[in-house]
Amino acid sequence: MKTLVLGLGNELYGDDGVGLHVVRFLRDEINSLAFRPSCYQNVFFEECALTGLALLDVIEGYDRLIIVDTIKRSHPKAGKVYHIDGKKLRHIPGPSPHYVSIPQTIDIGREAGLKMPESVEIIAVEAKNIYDLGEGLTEEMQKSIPEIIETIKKTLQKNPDEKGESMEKKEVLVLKDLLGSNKKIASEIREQLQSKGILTLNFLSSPGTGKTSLLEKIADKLSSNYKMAVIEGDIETERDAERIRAKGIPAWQITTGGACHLEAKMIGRLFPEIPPDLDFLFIENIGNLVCPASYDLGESIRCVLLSIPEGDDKPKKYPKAFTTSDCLIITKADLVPALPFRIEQAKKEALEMNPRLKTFVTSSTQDSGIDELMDYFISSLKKLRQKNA
Amino acid sequence: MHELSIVANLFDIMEEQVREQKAKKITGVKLQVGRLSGVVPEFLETAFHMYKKGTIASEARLEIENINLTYRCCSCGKTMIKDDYILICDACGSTDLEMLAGTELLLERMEMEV
Ligand SMILES: Nc1nc2c(ncn2[C@@H]2O[C@H](COP(=O)(O)OP(=O)(O)OP(=O)(O)O)[C@@H](O)[C@H]2O)c(=O)[nH]1
Ligand SMILES: [Mg+2]
Ligand SMILES: [Zn+2]
Repeated sequence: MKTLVLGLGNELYGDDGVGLHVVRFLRDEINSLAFRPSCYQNVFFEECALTGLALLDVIEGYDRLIIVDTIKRSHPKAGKVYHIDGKKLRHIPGPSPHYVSIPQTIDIGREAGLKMPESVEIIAVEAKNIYDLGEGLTEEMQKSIPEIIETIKKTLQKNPDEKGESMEKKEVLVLKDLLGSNKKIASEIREQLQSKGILTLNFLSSPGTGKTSLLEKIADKLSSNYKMAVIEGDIETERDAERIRAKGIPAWQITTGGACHLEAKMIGRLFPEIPPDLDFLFIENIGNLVCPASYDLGESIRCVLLSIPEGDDKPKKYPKAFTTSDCLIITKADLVPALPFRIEQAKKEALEMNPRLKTFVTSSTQDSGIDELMDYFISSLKKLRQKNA
Repeated sequence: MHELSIVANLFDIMEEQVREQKAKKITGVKLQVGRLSGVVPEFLETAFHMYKKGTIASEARLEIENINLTYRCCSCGKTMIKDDYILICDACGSTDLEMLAGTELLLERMEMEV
C-alpha cells in the first residue's frame, strides 16, 4: 500500500501554511530515523499550494491519501484538530476551497482512467487567520502543531480499513552476534586444548595451495620428537586424511557434503577422540580463501597459505583471510623462476593489512623454508606451555 | 557462500526473541554488517528473503547497515576509516592501529507484532 501525506495551503496566508509546515517537519523526522517502523514504509510526503483538478497529478498512483489542511468557521476554535474520514466527506459543508473539491477531483480522475486513492482521510485544523498576507502562523496554531503531528502519526499507524485496535508493534534492541554461537564453542575448544598444552593450528587457503603436501612434510619433520594429529576438512572424500595416515599420523576426515567451511561445532564433535597428550593439532580447512576466515575453530595459530601460481595480488583481494591470520606461508617457492610472482610485494601487501603477521616462504617439493616454519611452531608450543606452567 | 548458514543462525536468534516477547509476527529486521565481516550484504539479503518463506517472518523487511572499517592510532589518537586495509596512520605514519569497528555481523534490532 502506497500512502501520500499531502499538506495543502499557502504559506503566504498566515495559518493557511500549517499543513505544509507540519508535513515538512514530519518528513524530516521520519527520514532521519535509524530504523523506519513499518507503518512509515511506503509513506510519501508532499507539500502543495494547488487546489482542485491541479491536484490530480499529485495524488495519482497512491492507495491512501491523507490530507492536512486548514478550515475556517465563522466562530473558530483556532488550533482545534479534526480527523475526518473521506467517506463522510461529501456530507460536510465545505468551508475551505481546498477540500470541497477533493471527492470531485477523485471522481474525475477515476473517470479519466487514473489510479486514484481508495481511501481518503483529512486532518483539518481550524485556523484563525488565513486571509492576511505574510503573517506567519498565529500563536494558537503554533501551539497545536504537536497535536497535529501526533494525529498524523496515529492515522498512519492505523490501517484505514481496520475497525478496531490495530496490532501492537514492538521494536526490540537485540545486538547479538550472528556468529556468536560459533565464537562461544571456539573459545571453549581453545581454552580446553590450551590447558592441555596442545598447540592448535588452522590452515586456510584456496584449493590446491599445498596444505596437505605441507602437512606431509611437517609430519616428516616433527613426528620423531613430537606427537601430532591432523583434522582434515573437505567437501568430499577421505583422500587427504589417508595421505596423512600413510605417514603414521592419526587423522580424522570431516566431510561437509557441500558446506564451504569448517565450524567450531564440527571440531567439538571430534573432541572425545583427540588424545590429551598431543603436542600439535593441525586442522586443514576446506580449500576456500573466503568463508573459512569467518569461523574461529578454537585454534591458537591461524596460518594462511598462498602459493606462487595464485599470484602476488591476493592479500588485498581476500582481506579477511589475511587480516585474521597470525602467519602467512607462501608455498611452492620452487615455481618462482617460472612465474611472475613478487614475493616481497606479496609480503609487503599482507603486512600493511596485518603488521603482526609472521611470514614464511616454503617449498614442499624442494624441502625449503620448512625448518624455519617448524622453529616458529615449536617456539609457539614452548610459549604456550610456559604460560600454562 | 556461507551467507545461508549465517542466515540460519540469524533465524535461531530471531526465534529466541519471538519466544521471549511472545510475538505473533516479525515485521522488520535490522543487521549491522562490517566491511570486514566476511559476508556479502547482497547475498545475505537474498538468503534472508529465501529463508523467511513460510516462517513468521515471511513479511519481514530487512535493513542492512554497512559499517566502515574504523581504526584508532595508538600513537597519536586519530580515528580514521581504512577501507583500503592499509594499516598506516594518515596523520603520523604509525602502524600501531587499534580496530574500532568493521568486523560486525550483528542482529541489531527487530520489529514484531505482539
Ligand atoms: N611445485 C610444487 N608443487 C606443489 C608443492 N606443494 C604441493 N604441490 C602440488 O600442488 C598440488 C596440490 O597440493 P595439495 O597438497 O593437495 O593441496 P591442498 O591445498 O591440500 O589442496 P585441497 O585440500 O584440495 O585444497 C599437488 O599437485 C601437489 O603436488 C610445492 O611446494 N611445489
Ligand atoms: Mg588438502
Ligand atoms: Zn597516528
